[in-house]
Amino acid sequence: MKKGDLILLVLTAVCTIGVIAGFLWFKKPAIDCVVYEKNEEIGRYPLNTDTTVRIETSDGHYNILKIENGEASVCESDCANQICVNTKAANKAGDTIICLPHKISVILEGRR
Amino acid sequence: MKKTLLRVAYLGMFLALAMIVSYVEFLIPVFPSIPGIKIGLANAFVLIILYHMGAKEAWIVNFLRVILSALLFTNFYALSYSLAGAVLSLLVMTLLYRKEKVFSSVGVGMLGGLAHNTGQLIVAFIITNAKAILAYLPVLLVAGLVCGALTGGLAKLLNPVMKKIMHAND
Repeated sequence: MKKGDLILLVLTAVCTIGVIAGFLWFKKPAIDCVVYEKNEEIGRYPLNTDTTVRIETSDGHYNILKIENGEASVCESDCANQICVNTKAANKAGDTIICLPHKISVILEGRR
Repeated sequence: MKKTLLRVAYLGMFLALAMIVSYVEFLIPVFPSIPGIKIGLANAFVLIILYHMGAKEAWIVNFLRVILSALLFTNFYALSYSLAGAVLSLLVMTLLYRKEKVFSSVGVGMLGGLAHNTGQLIVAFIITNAKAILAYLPVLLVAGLVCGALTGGLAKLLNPVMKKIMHAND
C-alpha cells in the first residue's frame, strides 16, 4: 500500500458514510400517506390534512391511522404485538409503518 | 520469437478470462438490491496486463473484450456505455500506473473505477438527457471507488504469480 492508496481509501470510507447518511437524513418530504393490504393499495390520504381513519382489514381486524401535523402514525390496533402502534410517527418520504399480523403497511410517498 | 509467441498466448488467455468474468457477473449480480452496479472483475485482468505487459497490450485487450462481450452477451445499445466506461477508466489508469511511488494497483484501480462510472453516467446523460440521472452520481462514484479497490486489490494479490509467469522464460 502506498500513500496515495491510503488517502483514497480514507476518502472512500468518508464518502461512503456520507452517501449513506445523506440517504438516511436528507429524505424528501412526504406528500401522501398510502395504505397497502398485501401489496394492494386500499387507501391514500394527503398528509397536509389532519384526519383519523379506521382501516378495516379483509379478515375483520382494524388499525386506526392518525394523520396530524404532517405526521402519520397508527394510534390503535387490535393486533397481538402492537408493533405498529409503537412505531414512531412517520413524516418523510419512504418512511413505513408495518402491521405484520394484519398484513397492513403504511408507506409515505413523496413527489409523484 | 518464442517470447513473442508466449506473450500472444498470455494476452489471449487474459482476454478470455476477462470476458468470462464479465459474463459470470452479468449472470449473477453481486448487489441485487442496487441495479446496474457490479464489481467489474474484468478490470483486474486489464490492470494485470497494464502492469506486467504494457499499456498498448492493455488497450488492445480492453477494446476486444468490450466489443466481443457486446457481440456475444449483450447488444450494441449497451456497447456505448461499456465503451465509454472502459476507455475513460483505462485512460486514467494508463496515466497513473507508472506513478508507483504514489499509487499501487489498489489506488489505480479505485481511480479507474471512478472514471469508469463517470464515463457511463456521461453517456447515460447524453442518451436520455434526464437530469434525474445526476442524482445517482454520488452512489455511482462511491461504488466505483469501492469496486475499484476490490479489483485493484485482486490484481495486487496476483502480483507474485504474474512475476513468476512473466519472467519464467527470461
